[in-house]
Amino acid sequence: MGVIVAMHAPDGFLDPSVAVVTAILSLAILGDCLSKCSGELQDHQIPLAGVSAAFIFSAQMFNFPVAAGTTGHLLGGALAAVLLGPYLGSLVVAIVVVVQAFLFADGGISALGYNLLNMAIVPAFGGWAMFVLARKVLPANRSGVVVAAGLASAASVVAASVAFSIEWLFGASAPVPFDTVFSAMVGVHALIGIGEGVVSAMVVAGVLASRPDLVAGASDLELSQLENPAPIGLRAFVLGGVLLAAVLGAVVSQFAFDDPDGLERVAIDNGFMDSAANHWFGGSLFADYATRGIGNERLSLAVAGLAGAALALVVAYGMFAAARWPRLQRGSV
Amino acid sequence: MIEPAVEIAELAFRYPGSKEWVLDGLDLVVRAGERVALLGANGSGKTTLLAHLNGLLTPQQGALRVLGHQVGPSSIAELRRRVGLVFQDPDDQLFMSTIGDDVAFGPANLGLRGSELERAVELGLASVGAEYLRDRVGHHLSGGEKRRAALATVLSMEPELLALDEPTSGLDPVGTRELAKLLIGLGTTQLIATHDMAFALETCPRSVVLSGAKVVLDGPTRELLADEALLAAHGLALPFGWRIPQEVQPTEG
Amino acid sequence: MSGHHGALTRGASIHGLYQPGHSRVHLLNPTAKMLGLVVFVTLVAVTPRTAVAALSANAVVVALVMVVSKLPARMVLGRLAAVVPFVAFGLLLPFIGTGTRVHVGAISLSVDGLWASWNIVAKAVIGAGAAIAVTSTTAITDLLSGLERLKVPAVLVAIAAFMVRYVDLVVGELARMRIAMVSRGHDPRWLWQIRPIAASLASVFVRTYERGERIHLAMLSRGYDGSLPVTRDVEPLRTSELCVGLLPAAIAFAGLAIVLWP
Repeated sequence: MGVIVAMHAPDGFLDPSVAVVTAILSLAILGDCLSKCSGELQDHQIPLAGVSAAFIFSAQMFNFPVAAGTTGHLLGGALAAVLLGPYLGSLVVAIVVVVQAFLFADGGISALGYNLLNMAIVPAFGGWAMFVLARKVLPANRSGVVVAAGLASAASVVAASVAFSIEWLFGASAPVPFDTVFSAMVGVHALIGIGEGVVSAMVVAGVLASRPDLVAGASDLELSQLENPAPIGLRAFVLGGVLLAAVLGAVVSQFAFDDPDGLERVAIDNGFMDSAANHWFGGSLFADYATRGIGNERLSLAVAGLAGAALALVVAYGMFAAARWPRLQRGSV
Repeated sequence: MIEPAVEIAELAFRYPGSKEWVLDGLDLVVRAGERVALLGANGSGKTTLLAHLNGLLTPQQGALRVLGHQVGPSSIAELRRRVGLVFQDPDDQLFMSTIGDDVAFGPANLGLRGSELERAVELGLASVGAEYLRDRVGHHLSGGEKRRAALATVLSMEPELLALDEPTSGLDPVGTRELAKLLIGLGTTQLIATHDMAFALETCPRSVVLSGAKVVLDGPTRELLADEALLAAHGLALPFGWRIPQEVQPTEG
Repeated sequence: MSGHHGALTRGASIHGLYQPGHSRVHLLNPTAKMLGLVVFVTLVAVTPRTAVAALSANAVVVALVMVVSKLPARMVLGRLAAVVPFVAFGLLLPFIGTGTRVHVGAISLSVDGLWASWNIVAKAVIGAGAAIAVTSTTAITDLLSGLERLKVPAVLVAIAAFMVRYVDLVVGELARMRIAMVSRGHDPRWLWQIRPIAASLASVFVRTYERGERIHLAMLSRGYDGSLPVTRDVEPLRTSELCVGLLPAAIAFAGLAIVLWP
């Protein structure tokens, strides 16, 4: 259920006020991406962005096995950011989302605000932030780029689920408490993130092997730095990811359920309870929605505030990192 | 005397970052109105040579004159208009939403609008007999239709020199025959890179063979193809069971 | 998992969404249709869930448009499958929802959950139905130029057009690689066995990107200078057509106005 809820939400799935606020936010960010890319898009990037969108669209339909014959498929937001850079990457995924809504009735047209945020912007910039951070601690070689891409892709899926949960808090259309939605969404997406991370990492590895110049996230490296093969076995990678997700899940659930007072105190001390909720979603407009159908209102607000602030920081860092990334613009054909 | 359509002397080119010369000291003259087949094994530089003709690539060494212009930054706009380059894969050439838009793309870039543009599109489609494809989507055409549509996208610009890269790839024998007939009927100067010896014999009175980054053989197609040993020395082979029948003459354009 | 996955893997293509026809809806100006669609679904989304009559009227409007367009019921139902997961989620809500409960026989249902269920199912079906009605009666090229008329930046529409043009090709390539793998006995069941699949994705990305590079060369060859030329005259939008396009939206607005009137 979690997967499905985060993707392609239909019309009226969240409250109209959330649809409006997220639409404004998404349009502003995508507009900024467009102006950042406009120089490149003047020339060869238009057909390249177009075929890349075709690739992301197709990759989303391409099922891969997860366990015992069950399958999953790529979301591709972070992968697009690593391959094309976060600005063009988020634009390309945004175009995929819009075309899916208009042509396939897959995701509501009035729901585009939050669908764009959850499927294009948060994964691309959140993923890019994680990628840049991971690159800083990992060696500057092919394995470093590949592992960073995997971590970024896994994190991007979890970030998308966090974003959805927060939207749910402010615009739930159904009496399901935020706590339940949050833990279910983040838990399920931590698992989905493993698949996303593994596949994205291997796709980046494959592209690096044949056309390293096509990986924007590796554009700061010389070809000689990219020549070594990945030393980590795939099985170790997958099992490590499962372990990491399990630990993360355990920690999150501890926070969410067992130690509410501690978290609440942190939230109040840091002023998140007021500022995060108000600044992110425009304040009193949402006051009514936050209280509706939520068991422990203060806990929910605290969790959402923290998660929202963290997510906003991550996405903002991704944009900041993108603006400073060296040689993001690829050489011409 | 009319100026040659293509005049190449000592042309050399290698791709950035590569040590290997794809073209190295290549000489070739093509007279206006000629149809010349460009034969050569994979990687012999046929496509690279064609990409020089309209300035997609500019010569690194040597001289290259096309339709009376030295190929270089100052002549590129002019050459893009007058030299029609047809790519090997029609799906690369048919990138717009409909065939009509694809055929209009070139003339529209030249600044044509309204009825002038309409005339150019009709001309392009009519010269390949593809008027019925106008509102169709590139993805759904047959191999032969794609090939003709790709040709129409450059014919709408009324080029004086046509450069075709492997025009028969992906075509069945009937499609190949139709294409040969069409090209012979056009009357423009043509340079056709191909692996298809029968097609070369049918369409081009003259052939040149590229090998070792230069032109190694140049002569009437029928004579070149009659010397199997010479072809084999340059990495070329005739189709199985194929001999040039003595009575067949290459068609004169 | 969602509609398009099924639609394309069954061999249909993105260009197969359009159902050619000559109905009043088919012939209506595409920009009018798309504007009508956007306004209509927005109004449906903001209609309160308690306005059962208004939402029902909107559903009837969508159904009427489909009937006028002579859309095959089987096709419409198949494409509505995109919202099935959400409908399923909606149908769960009466059971998992909190608050006051009603008892139907032995089953206890949440009242709030029932309303939420109705809200999600109704709006998802009406919204998707409206989008299906428009995309099934409008050629993709017209939809794209409609997007441009609706002030979506031309660059983005151009990227979308390239995507639509090449998506079937990319899907085909991936499908062929999958078949080649299966025919050589590679049928992975666990995540750590998928290196070949990921490798095929990587090589399809590289090939796709290289196609993009060749397309760019083909564009340059025909005089492209970085700004996309206008290759067709856009049909002017007449006021009368705009009014017809906005008719469903007007009905949705009337329903909303009656409900919200104090």
